[in-house]
Parts: sequence; C-alpha cells; structure tokens
Amino acid sequence: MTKKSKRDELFDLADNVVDTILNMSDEELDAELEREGIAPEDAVKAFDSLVDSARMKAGQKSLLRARVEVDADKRSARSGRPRSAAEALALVERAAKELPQMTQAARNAKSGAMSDSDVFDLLEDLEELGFSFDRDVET
Amino acid sequence: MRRLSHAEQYLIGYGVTKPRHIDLEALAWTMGAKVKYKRLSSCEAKITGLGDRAIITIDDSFGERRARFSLSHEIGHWQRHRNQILSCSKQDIGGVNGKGAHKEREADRYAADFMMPAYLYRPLMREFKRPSFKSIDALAQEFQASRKASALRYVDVDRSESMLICFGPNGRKWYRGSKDWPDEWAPKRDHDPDSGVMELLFGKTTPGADRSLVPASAFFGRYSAENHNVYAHSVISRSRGGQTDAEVMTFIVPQSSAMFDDVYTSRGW
Repeated sequence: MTKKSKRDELFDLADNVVDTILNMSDEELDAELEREGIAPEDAVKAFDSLVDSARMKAGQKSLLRARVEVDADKRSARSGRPRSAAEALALVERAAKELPQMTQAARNAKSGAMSDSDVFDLLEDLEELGFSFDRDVET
Repeated sequence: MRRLSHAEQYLIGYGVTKPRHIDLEALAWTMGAKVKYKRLSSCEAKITGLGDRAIITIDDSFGERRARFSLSHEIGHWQRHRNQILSCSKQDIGGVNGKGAHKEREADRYAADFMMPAYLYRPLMREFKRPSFKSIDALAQEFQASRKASALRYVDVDRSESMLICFGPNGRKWYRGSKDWPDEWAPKRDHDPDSGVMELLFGKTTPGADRSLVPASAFFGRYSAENHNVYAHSVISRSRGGQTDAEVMTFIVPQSSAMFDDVYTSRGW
C-alpha cells in the first residue's frame, strides 16, 4: 500500500508549523504576530496559503494514487482453497488462539454463534491479510 | 482557536478541501485497510486487522449513505482501537443519550468527523439562514450522509442553540442539543398534542416542507416555555425495521435566544 515518501517529510514540516499555530491561544498568537510586525489579516491569508499550497496538492495527488491502487486491487480476483465448514471453523479458532492482538469489530452485530458464512468470510480475510494456514488441522 | 480532530488532520493531510474529495475507500487504503462490499448475515459492517493491515467489509444493502457511515465507523475503530476485539450491538449504536459503550461512541464521533469534518461542514451550514431539515438534507446531499447523521452533525457543530429530538410511538426516544443549549431546557418525555408528532407517527398527516413557528410548550415542559416560541421542523425517519419502527425527528431552534435568559439568571450569570 502507500509507502512513505518525500511527501511525508513535507508533511512533517507543515504539521509542525500548523500544530504550533493551532496550539497557541488567541492571545499568544496576537502577541507573536505583533512581535513580528504582521497584521492578523495577513497572517490568516498566509496560513490559508500554507494550507492550500504544496502540502494540499501533494496530499490530493497521493489520494488519487490510492484510488488507482484500490481500483487495480478490485480487478485482481482472489480465490482461496475450498474447505469444509468444520475445517474453516477449526482454522479460525486456531487463528484466534495464535493471534491475540488481532483487530476485530462488527457493527450492529447479532448475538450468537458465528454462521458458516461468517466463518468462511473471516478465514478469507485472515488469509488475505497474510496469516498462514499451511499446517494441517484436525477437524 | 479550535484544535482539529485526528480525523480532520488526516483529511487535511490528503488535501481534502471539499466534501467531494472525501473518497472513503481511498482514504482507508492509505491507512492499510481494504474495503469490500457484500451481504452480511450477522452484522452491518465489520473489520478484521492483522498488524498494520485490515479488511473492512460493508453490507451496502441498507443504502449507500448508511454504508458510508458504517465504513467511517470501522475506519474509526481502525484508527482508535487497533489490536482490540470489539463487537457493537444495535443498542450501542443507537445509544445517543449516553447508554452506548464508550468505544462505539468514539468510533461514531470519528466517523462523523471523517465524513463531515467541521472545517467543511460549518462554513456550509452558515449559508443557510433558516435552519431546518431542508438545510440538513442539503448538507446530507453534499456530504453523501444519511439525514439522521447530518442532523446529528448539525447540532454537534452548531455554535448557536439547536436541538434534535427523536420520538417513537411511546414518546421521546432520545435527544441531543447543541453545545450552547442549556440542560435545563430538556424536551418533554411524552408527545404533546400541539407538537403534531403523533399525527406524523401514525400517518394522519405528512411532514411540512419547512419549519414552522410553534409555542415552545409544545416540546418543553419548563415553566417559562409558554412565553416563548420555537421554530420546529418534524420529519418521519423510519429505522430499518420498517413501519413498526417508525420514528419522528424534530429539529428545533429558538425564535430568540432570550428564551434561555431565565436559565442564565438562575445560574447567576
């Protein structure tokens, strides 16, 4: 997926500037501007300009690239090895034991045991995420 | 000066300056999360993650806009609750009065920030001089959000006084006021005949095209309510259960903020 690039370095620099400004109180900001001899209206324009400039354009370009990658990924079909429901359940239970740090959440979830289709879905997701089920499982 | 939320900072990092820039799938991809769409038998949306990669699956049979909120909600989990195992029941999701689990509310807040960032939502809402469901629906269209999500967002980011009340057949289900709406002005628990809510709930009338001026006492039991008016706009909001889950959402703004003077006087302000 998207790798770190020069864009990230640019972001770090811009983030520091933006964070510093956002963390200042109105009074601190006014005092700073007065010390620098900058009118508040000009500072607002300069801030807008900063936000609208290279950082924004780099971000938009990066997001467009992500969209291209998403579309390319959708075109690449995947098919896992066919398994029985019992075998799939055993594999998912094994994964749950071996992966205590797994992230899982379900919205508007119904209570009760997982259906066969839930189990197959989870197995497919775990395989796609790189979990290896190569070892034999007793079913 | 308001500090940008994590979601808003993320969007700005990707140059999001217009609602149409919020490409949720592409944004999820930049976080290492791939999005799939399929019918789900046991939930509406889910996320499975390993390390720094995840797969989010969304059931979009409930409508595109609701699917967008579900996707944003799962993105919220990915950004906030990585390496945790959670399950969100319908009660958690609907618990807008504070009954929902903390992490579900956190994911919902992240979702609202991500789909309708205040730095884009607030300037657009200011363009509407007479707030009502007409403006809420226009904003929902702009951000491709559901009416309910847009209405909740409206009161959440509103810097003046507004309130959203949801009624079911048994009375008030939940309500949410904007930050400046005083707690002392809580809405009535039961339907008041002057509110017109019962007629809407049971199909005896149709929703008005725009807000109307009604006595505040139609919605509020506070002793001074009879002396004030509010602009109210009620619409039917059927939840996914169909006719039996009929709800009415009412959006309210005071005719004058003087309505709250007695509160501030009693607080000694």
